[in-house]
Amino acid sequence: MIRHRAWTRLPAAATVIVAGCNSSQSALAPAGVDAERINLLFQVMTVSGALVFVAVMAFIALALFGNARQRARLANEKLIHVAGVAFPAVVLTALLLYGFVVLRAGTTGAGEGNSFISRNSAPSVAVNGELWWWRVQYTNSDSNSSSVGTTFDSANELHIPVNEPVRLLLTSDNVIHSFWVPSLAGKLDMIPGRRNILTLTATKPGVFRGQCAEYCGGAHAMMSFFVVAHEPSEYAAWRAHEASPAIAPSTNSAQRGAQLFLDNGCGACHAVRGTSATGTIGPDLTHMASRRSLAAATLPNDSASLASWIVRSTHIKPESRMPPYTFFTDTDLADLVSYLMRLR
Amino acid sequence: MALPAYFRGQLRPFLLAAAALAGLGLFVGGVVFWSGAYNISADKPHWKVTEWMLRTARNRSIKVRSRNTTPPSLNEDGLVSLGAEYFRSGCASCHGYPGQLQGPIAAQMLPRPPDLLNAAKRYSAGELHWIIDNGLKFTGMPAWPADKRRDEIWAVVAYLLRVHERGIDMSDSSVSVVSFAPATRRALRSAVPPRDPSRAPLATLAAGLADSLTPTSVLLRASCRRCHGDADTPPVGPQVPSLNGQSRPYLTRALREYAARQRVSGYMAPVSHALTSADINNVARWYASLTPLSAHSADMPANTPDNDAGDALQLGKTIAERGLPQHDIPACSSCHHEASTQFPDLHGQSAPYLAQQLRLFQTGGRNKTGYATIMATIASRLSPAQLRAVSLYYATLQAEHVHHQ
Repeated sequence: MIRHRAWTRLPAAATVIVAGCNSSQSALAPAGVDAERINLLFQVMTVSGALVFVAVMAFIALALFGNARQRARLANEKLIHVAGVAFPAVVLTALLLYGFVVLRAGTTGAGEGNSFISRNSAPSVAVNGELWWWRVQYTNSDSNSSSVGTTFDSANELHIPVNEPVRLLLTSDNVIHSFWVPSLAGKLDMIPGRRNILTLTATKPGVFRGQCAEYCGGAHAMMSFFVVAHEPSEYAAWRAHEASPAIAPSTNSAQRGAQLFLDNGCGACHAVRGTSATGTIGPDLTHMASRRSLAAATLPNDSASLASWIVRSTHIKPESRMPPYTFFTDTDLADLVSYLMRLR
Repeated sequence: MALPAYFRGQLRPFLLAAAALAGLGLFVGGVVFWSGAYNISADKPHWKVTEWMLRTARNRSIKVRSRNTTPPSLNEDGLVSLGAEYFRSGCASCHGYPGQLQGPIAAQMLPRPPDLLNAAKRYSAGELHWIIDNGLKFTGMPAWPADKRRDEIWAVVAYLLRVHERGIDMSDSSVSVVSFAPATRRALRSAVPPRDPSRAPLATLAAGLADSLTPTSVLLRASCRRCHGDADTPPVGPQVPSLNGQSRPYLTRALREYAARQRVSGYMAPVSHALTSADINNVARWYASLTPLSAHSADMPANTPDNDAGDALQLGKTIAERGLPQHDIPACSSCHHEASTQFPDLHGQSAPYLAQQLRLFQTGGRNKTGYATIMATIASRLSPAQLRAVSLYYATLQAEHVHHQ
């Protein structure tokens, strides 16, 4: 492994810091009910803390540099009782209670009521933390539809309607992960054997980036995802499309690619609904081409990245559970990519 | 500079004499070393003392270095026969067959390769394994021609133990390697082109025509079938895969990988090394055309699982057909199916062979090619119980007919 000198890391560090200012993944640019609350909490805490800090500094300055009369006034017992005991007790208690109220927002244990959810029928989406990606499972809860209770899988991208609370059922069957979309809400851990519920309400349409916020092993840093908040009508259309089976390959190259996909066992781990590929070990690829990223927001979703991912998965994402497929010829690879990139 | 006190005293003459002697010794030694006075001829035996030193150093080295080698069970079916086949092509050219006269060329080696009839008396199983694995410097004894395949050597050890135990009893077919194995004899008999075609058995002629049997291809096939069997004969032991009905692309790839040392085996390395591209195609086409032997036939007793293996079979079936998604283990059948000609057909393959290959995948002995990398990744997720279960399950299946020609 190459050891970089500290200064060569500076650009990377700078990127991270600047990324913190990017509005797609920033708690300071809230676009969700919880994130707004948290942002307000942050601002209230920061401003209160700053005021208290300034006041304390002023008292210290007075104690050090003030004249005898001012110092005598500082030594007044009444001042100690008011500013030293009563004021912190009242202010800190108030801030603490306010913090408690905000922190409870959006999170409930299983089955517990939640004051922020107006309806129990809020759509729910199951998100399972995998090594190292996100399995997203939508359940059809529209009582008018005949397919109530049926589910369909997607991965590494969560779509929600704007201005509508969505219940996220957070689980993990391996290690502890943490689901965090800073622009939309606070973080909540995904703990094996538990189902934590996070209610997400986006207030603006847009694309927001999320990141696993609990160290979960080798590729933890490459376990990110996107949340897309749609206008309600757009959301319904997206959902209908996402629930549909994959489109059949139309070109010769794509048809060859589809055959290669099945012959070489890709379907052992990946599902493409509507084909005989029904694997559940890896991400569902039924509409993979319409997603914004590959390999849990590790790579942009384009043909070149996909080809390179197939051939060098473990190099790009160390410890990736998908083994690299190095035996495809260039033609095979192009056909396979052509097939997959058409799965819109 | 003052000389040390002891050098000025009474010792001085002795020390001077010693120094002079050492100088003379170095000079004479140098002359002998460079002049070619030492006769390197293998025709001239070592002095008695040299030989004693060499032998003692060798025996001590073997004893000390093999002390951590523990033999597995050497009573497995087929192990001795497999070892005998290896002995025939790998060892006999120098050592001769046990109890027989050596060939005239090997007999002129120094040291002369010993008759191995009583090798098992002089060395323990672990020591024999160490010798075959490592070879012996200065003797012409080579190391095992494959890295990370110490497992393969035990068959040869088992053979040497059997030879020592039984002596040379020609009626014991497992020991009498001097003669060709029955399958080979049969093949050669039918293969040597008869002088008068009208006297050849009609069936042989017909088969020969259909198959364009040249003497080369017959010998080629004869050497494969010694271990892998053919349409009528099962493999020599359950350690060896049956190749009947495997796809041509897979067989071709396997042989190329063996030849390129991407797939390692001390058995297959020398064989594949000698094959031309045409030979590889020839053999692959032939095995692909053969009908798989019945897994339940009496020929393959090792495939019949113990009675208490019912649970294991159930687990094996699940792994083979559906995988264990909760352990990230995909179904075997998603790659190992008829349409995928690059993947071997596992139906009816023996359980010991499958288990051994899976362990090889797990321990890094089979991961040098793109296909092997994938299998190695998956195999590493199998627990020992799952590994055994899936091996047993495939062994009980009836090999499907020839899918690929």
